[in-house]
Amino acid sequence: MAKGSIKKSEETKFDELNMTPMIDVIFQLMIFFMCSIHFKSLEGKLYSYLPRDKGMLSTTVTDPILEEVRIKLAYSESAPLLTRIKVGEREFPDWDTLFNHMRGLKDSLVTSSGDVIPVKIDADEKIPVQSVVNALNICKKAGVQKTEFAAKTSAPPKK
Amino acid sequence: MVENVGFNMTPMIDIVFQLIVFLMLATDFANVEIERVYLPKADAAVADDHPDEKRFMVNIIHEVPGEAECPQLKYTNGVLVQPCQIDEHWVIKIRGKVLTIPELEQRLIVEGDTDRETKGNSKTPSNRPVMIRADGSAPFKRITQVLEAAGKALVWKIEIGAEKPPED
Repeated sequence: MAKGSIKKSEETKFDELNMTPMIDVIFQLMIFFMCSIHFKSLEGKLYSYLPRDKGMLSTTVTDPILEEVRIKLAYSESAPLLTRIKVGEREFPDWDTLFNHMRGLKDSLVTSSGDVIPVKIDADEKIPVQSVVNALNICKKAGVQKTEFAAKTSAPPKK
Repeated sequence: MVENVGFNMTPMIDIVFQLIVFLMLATDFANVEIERVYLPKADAAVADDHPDEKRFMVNIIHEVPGEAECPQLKYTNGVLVQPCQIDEHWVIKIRGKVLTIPELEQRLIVEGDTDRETKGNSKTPSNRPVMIRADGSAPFKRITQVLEAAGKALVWKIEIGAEKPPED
């Protein structure tokens, strides 16, 4: 039996603590945690709850709307990245002026009885999501309490 | 003359750990509902730190059939120059599977049913939250389609995924 041939080298080589595997493991763990933490901190969200009591299938709203604020976002074929922003008849050149307008408007969106008038975001189908999120973002920042997305009314369901 | 013939385990342990890390990450990606999306930016976005465990994720991503290059979508230095307006390129994906609008409606009804009460024959609104993760350059039409499907399923807790830009 080959017994004594490696004895000497074992004694001299493996007596001291080998740090390499531990360092490897620590690096692996570091890489794993760095990756996972990075993924988690990337994203946020904007709450945009649909009206609970009047879904898409409900009947049309018959209550008179006293005052409606509608942010219209229009698409133009010639400049697809430039969104035309309108509130009523007034056109806004950029998002900052819309923000100032909405900030000035927010108090008038609460009636004396405490009801909150929602701001409707009415965007063309082709508008990039970023523009709609900009409008939503501005409403949140300006302190608007309720925002809704305007929906195109389709033909009444067949009975 | 025989010198150190001792078995060096270090490379093997390295490889085993590499495999473990790879498998852990790969498994995570297979289960997680998120897709690679360039989310729209919004500084009023709240951090998504403790999402509801029951939350249902709908991704709207740009995917060209056959992995060909999109003739419309153009980025220069990471900045969008021209959006893609081809309907078929914007797909609705749930857990890696592309769904049509009727399929999405059915799915939302099923998912909504897991957290709602029934009063007699009528359904009450579902408390199941739905997050829409849409690419910032996607047409708004896709979001309205998801909102319509959610409305039909009486799912009302909608969250729109957004990226909070880093503060200066």
